[in-house]
Amino acid sequence: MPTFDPVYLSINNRPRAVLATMDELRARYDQQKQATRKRRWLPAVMLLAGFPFCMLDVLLGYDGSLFIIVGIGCVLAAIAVAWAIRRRRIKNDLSPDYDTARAIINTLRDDLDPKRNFFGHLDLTGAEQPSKLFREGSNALGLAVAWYRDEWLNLKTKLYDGNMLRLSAVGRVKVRKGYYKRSRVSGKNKWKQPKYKQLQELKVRLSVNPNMYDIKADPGRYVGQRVGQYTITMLDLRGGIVQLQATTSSSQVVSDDILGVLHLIYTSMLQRKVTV
Amino acid sequence: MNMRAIVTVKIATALIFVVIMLSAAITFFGGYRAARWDEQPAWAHDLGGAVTTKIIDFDGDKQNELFVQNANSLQVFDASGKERFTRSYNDPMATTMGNVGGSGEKIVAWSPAGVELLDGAGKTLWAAQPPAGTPSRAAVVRFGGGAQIILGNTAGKLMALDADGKERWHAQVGSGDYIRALDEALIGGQRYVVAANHNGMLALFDENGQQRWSYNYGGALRRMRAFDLNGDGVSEIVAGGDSGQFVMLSAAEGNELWSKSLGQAVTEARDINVDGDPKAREVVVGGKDGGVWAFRADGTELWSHSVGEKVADITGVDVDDDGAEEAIVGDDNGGLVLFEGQSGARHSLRDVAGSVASMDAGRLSDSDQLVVADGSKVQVLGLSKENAPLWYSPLLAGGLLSLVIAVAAWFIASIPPKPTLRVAAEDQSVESLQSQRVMLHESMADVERLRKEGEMPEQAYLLRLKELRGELATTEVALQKAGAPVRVETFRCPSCGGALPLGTDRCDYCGQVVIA
Repeated sequence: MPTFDPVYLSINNRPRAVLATMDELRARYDQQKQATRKRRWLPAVMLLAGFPFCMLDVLLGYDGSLFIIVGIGCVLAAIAVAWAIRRRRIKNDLSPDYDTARAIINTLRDDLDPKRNFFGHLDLTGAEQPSKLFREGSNALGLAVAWYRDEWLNLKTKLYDGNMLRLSAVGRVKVRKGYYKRSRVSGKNKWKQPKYKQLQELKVRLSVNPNMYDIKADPGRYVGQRVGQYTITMLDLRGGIVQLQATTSSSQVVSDDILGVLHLIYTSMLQRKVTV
Repeated sequence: MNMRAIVTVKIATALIFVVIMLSAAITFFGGYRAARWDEQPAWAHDLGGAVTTKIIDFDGDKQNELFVQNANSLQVFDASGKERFTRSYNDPMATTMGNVGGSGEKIVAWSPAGVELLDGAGKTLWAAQPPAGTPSRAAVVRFGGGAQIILGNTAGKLMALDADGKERWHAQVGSGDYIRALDEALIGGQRYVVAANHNGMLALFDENGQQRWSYNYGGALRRMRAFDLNGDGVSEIVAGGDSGQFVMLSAAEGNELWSKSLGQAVTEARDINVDGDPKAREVVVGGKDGGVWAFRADGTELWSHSVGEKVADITGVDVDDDGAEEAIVGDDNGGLVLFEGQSGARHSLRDVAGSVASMDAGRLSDSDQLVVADGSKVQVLGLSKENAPLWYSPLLAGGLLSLVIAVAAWFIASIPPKPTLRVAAEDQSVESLQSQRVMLHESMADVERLRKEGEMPEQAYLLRLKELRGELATTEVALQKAGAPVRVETFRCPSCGGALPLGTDRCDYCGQVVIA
């Protein structure tokens, strides 16, 4: 399973402010990466610089060992700089889901009620956390298996047309934990890596403004329909609220898939009322 | 500049200050002056198994020669390394040198075939066959009545010969173990011979062979020597052995002046003027585990150090002409180490090929020289001390070190801080905070629903609820600060700090009873 740098973005602001914060964070990541990349040669240079000093003392042969002390200083400074770079280095990239969330917010930014905010969160801290665990058990072989529910994107906003949109992207991860297995041939204990199975789920709940729209669709027609990578698994249009659930076995979703579902709701399920 | 960069710069500044102050203090007040101790090979001769080396002037021409003895031969070289003569004998043999007969230093060679007196040119002055037994040690003692050759055999017997090789007296030391050491001792201007056997029995004899006193060291003895360390006309006798006890006796009565336990067998002891005081000399002692100590005559320790292996021999010479002799120690591994006289500062010289067997230092030619005999050859090394130039000072090293610290600090301080894990894109207006509050309630309701539907175990539910309630509490505080009327719905558990809804009487997270 690819690892990404964890980030948690708490959202409660105008779309442009949210986008600005996201862009700023991305820029800081790039700046940090560039800064550590630029300095990564320095510990090696400082370490190498220590050797000529030590050699100078060996060649001169005086009993003071003054340049050896300078050489040791270079080595210690190299260790300090390497430690500082290592501590501040960004090991992994931001998850592609970060860009997905940004693209969704960017696309919806002009559809919001001008006085309203986006609410919610973008949680890219990873699924394997105790607060995201929702089941534990064992598989047919008796090996420990854990299921996690990771709601990585949660957005709520009132749209320009008066509809209330609630959007939630959830990653469901099944993890067969790693274990040691004794080889039948050599008798050695071998580490079996954990196995991951992932499912992405999208939940959309649109409270329709009855002054603007009529709901015209037949739910049976859409269940099972594919939209991008998603397959619609549930659609409930009762009570003036569109509740849709779609899933995909792909571990990675793109913004077009999520926006495609929203587009489908608007273009196929709602009918704008004619205003006189 | 962020906080971390400020702290880095502050630490670097403090370090630089300490380094500069320290280096300046050492440079200007510490009397620091680095030096290089050099040894240049002058000449060498292949000679296996040399056990004795001595720089000595045989012919009184103020030009020293080098005497070397191994198991069955002796050789004399001139200052340039040219061999003067070689004489071979049957082993075992013992040799000694001294002014026998009053016309310069002579060589006494004692082998199973007899005793021979040779001059510096290798000419036999006389030969005798006294019934002295198997050779162990020999010494020349200049008694008041004339020089005598003292022969100590492997049965603990002493025999004295006069300057013509005629037998003078016999004596016995201890109960029959071999004679380990013979030396000349001084009491009130009179000369005596002190002898020690391997069993640790010491005895002092006058020129007629009368024993003045005896002393039992109390164990196997390795070294015994007599020196007049404090220049009072009475020799101090030092002895050390396998027990690690180092004792100093007065030659007058044989009483113990002081003793020290060195923790390792004593293998060598030599008198060296390490403190530069011309009125007194000190004794430098070497041990089996490489320990080296310098003691004054009163037992005060001047310094102690160590070398890599068993101390094989010690010699002293004033290389830097400061009045204090440097102690040069050779070890069983071929290592040569020079200890500066007054400070005892340690300087490694070049190693020789095999185990050091014998050493002597002095002016064989014009400069100070060190003679080292190892298992296969005898080599002469010129010794010198060269002071470092002025620029080689702690101040320069401190400056360079400060530069390194400054460069490292600048690079560390200029790395931007790592982005934080939690980022907020939040509008702090009352309206937004109220909406966020609603959103958090919705999320809590979601969590409740998931738990009811069995999608979330109790532990995960509590953890998630704790997060959401925490956020709710933070939002309520922000609302209060913004001046919005808000009905507080949460409070913090006094035990674990988790946010709980009002009315709860037991903390969901830690189980503590709480009364809100």
